[in-house]
Amino acid sequence: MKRLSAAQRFRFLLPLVALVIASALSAEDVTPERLNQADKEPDNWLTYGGTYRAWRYSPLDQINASNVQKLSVAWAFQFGDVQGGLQCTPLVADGVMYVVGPNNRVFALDAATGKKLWSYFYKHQEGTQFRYGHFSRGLALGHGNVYLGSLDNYVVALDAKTGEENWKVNVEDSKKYGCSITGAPLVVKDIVIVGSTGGDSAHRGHLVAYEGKTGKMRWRFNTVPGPGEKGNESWLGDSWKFGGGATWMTGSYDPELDLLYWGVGNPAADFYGEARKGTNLYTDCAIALKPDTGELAWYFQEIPHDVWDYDSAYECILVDLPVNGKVRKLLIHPNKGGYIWVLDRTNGEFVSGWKFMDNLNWSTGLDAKGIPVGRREPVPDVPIFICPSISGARSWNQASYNPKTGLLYNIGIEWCTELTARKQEMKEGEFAMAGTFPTKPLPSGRVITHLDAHDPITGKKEWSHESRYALLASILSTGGSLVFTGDPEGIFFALDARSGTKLWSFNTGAGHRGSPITYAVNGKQYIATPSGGGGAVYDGLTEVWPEAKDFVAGATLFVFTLP
Amino acid sequence: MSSRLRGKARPRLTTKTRRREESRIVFRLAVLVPLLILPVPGAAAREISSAQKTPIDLKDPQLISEGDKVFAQNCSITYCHGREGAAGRAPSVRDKKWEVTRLRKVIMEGIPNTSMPNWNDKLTERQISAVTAYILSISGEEPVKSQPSSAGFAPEKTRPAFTAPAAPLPESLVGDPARGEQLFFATAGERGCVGCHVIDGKGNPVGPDLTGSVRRNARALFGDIVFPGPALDASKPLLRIVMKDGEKILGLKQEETPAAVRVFDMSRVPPVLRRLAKEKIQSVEPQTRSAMPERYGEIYTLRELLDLVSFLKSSGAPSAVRVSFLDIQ
Repeated sequence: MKRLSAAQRFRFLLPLVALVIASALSAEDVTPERLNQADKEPDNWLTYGGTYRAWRYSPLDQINASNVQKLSVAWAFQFGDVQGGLQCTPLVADGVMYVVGPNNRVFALDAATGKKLWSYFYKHQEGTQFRYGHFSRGLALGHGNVYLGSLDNYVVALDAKTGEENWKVNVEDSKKYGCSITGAPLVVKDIVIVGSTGGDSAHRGHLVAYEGKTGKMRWRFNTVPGPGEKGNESWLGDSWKFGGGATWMTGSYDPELDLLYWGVGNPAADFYGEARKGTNLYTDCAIALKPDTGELAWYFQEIPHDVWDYDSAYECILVDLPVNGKVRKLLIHPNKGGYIWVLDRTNGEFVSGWKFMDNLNWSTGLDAKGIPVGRREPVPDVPIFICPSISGARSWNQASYNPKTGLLYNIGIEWCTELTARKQEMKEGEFAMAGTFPTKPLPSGRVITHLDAHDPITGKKEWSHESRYALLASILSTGGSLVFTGDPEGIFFALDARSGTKLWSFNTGAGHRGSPITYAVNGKQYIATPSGGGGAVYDGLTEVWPEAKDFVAGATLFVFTLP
Repeated sequence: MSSRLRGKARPRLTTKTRRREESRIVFRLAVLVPLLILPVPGAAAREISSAQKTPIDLKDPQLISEGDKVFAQNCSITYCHGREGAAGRAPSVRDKKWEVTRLRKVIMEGIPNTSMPNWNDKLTERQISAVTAYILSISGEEPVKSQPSSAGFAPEKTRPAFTAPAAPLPESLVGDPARGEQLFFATAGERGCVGCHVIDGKGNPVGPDLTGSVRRNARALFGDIVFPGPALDASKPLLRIVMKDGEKILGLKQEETPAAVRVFDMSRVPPVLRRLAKEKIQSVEPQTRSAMPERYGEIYTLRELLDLVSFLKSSGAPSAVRVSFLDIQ
């Protein structure tokens, strides 16, 4: 009774206590429930693709087509290391921004001012080779942790409040397997899931899930099935052992269906297919897994027996849209080879497919089941001219879906490769392209890059914006009817989401290869973009644009707002 | 030479004179071709151009600058040697010691059965010299050795040939180092050593580094796997920890701060390096035994254990070692 009366006496304090708790909310409180409903928190950018649907869209509209010309720099953050450039997607939770820079340097910043709250510099194993670069594409938040996949193949959980290492576990020895983690992890329920890069090395791909609280491995899904597993029959002899199938980008999740979606990369070796006859499952597939067990729910193979390095590792965009009058749960999956596949994400059924570049000659089209036909196969030791370039009709940098305009904003690059396949011995962990692949312009001598607004189901083009150089940064679209991205020279720009008209630009001084986001703190909207080029395709621009050799390195985060 | 053959003033050749002319060409080629591909003694940073017989100075800034461009458009490109040679999927070519002739040979001829193509039909001779000069400019140079070596590239690692079988035993009682290697690096379930041990720089330094196991006897190695002994390092004891939320952890202590203790959580493979806040710990009970799991006598068959010991004994050894049942008795 006495205690009760004490509580009653202090009852007037309750609203104050609630306020204190609310304002103390930050990444340590990014719960699975919040992640499931990230679209209800437009002020934040909680997960790699913005939400589990990977739209790279925010409904924020304070910055819009009528005032974007007034955008100016609020603050900038320097990473102090420019090796490999800045490719990350910043995350924002409750006024705190989490970013990862070159060589796995992680920072927590005050999202309104850029003031550093903590930093964590990962120490790589001695002798790490960094074959897939020094960059990281992002982090994940959840369970009170900030998750990092390291370049030497560890998963690290940092305390979101302090940056202290809560746990750390090795996925596979990077020296032996030739892989590293450059993609952002994905938090789903009580686990964190990571994929690895390594698709151009002799290795066997996988997705691995760890318990967020303890770091204990929950499951491992091998993207190339071993003997006795279903799908192993799609590999000749022992070729499955180093069959590739890297999972180097970040997947999506549908909480209602409780399915995890991920794109799987190319088979290894890239161009010489004789040694791995068969369809080579589950390379070049969109896969759906049950997140509690890692069990395969369905798969759709976009390119059976890929011999062009057109991996299907890109983002899985989840939309619910009418098809022939009936709303269906869809997965939109852009592919490096120039097609976009639209699948039913409940069962993997093919719905539609369309190409997003004009000069595509490795196949003549898709059949009724969505399988490429009229393929132009490499012949060992004979050069063939294929388009798009093996660098991709688009690189990994992601598209954006804007529900307000109903349009998908995606990049297409018209370029080609003179591809010569040659036999190669597979040595575990070693570079295994099995061929030569100089990038070439179109027969006209030009390379054309276009950022297009498409109907996501039919591909119908609403507008197109042409760029001088290949666009290698992700796209952000907003409720303010804006589309943002940057070019390799350093120009960050905004287009009108409905017309494609260029409305604003700003020179950040170094090329764009990361993913811009938008967020709000205390009612003020900000646009953040990484600046600083790097990575395989960026460094390869010199093949068709010799002057790209002089594009300077950088690693700076620019944050813009209205004055 | 060719202009003389094709020139207007060229007389009609009889079969005999043509043969003589051809033999002279063959002779000239025989002299000149080796100049293209063979080392020029004592001219590490210079080489003779076959066309003009004038030395090319590989330190010529103009040539290096040309090579910089050739490199940027052909070698640093997508997936290969990386910007300014700092490594891509293919190895770094910076900050190494190159033997000029070896470097040039690799550029011209490629490396068979790898992703390194030959460039002699894609680049001009001048371009090959230029890119050679450029790579030398971002690297060091090694004097010519009499034997062509693998300077710049790690020496080819080949599995040493088998020595004579240890004993005339059935195959099931003789280990195979190749199978042992697969077992060592297995990452599925409870099997595999790589989660806790390092060998030749690969693996995780949770338990002892097993590089150099070649010097230990097979019986001791076998015993360490099936009957783990007491803890080796008293400063890193195995702890049975109960957390306040009820979680039980078998932790190999790594370090301690006033607020936390850092342990390898050994309760599942792979072990996880965890920071446990002291305020969340209920109880800690030190164990005397080592962190090495005690179940390997049950998890592995005898033959698999012999495979593993054979792999450990072969790693770094001049020849492969097949450990038999007789060796572990």
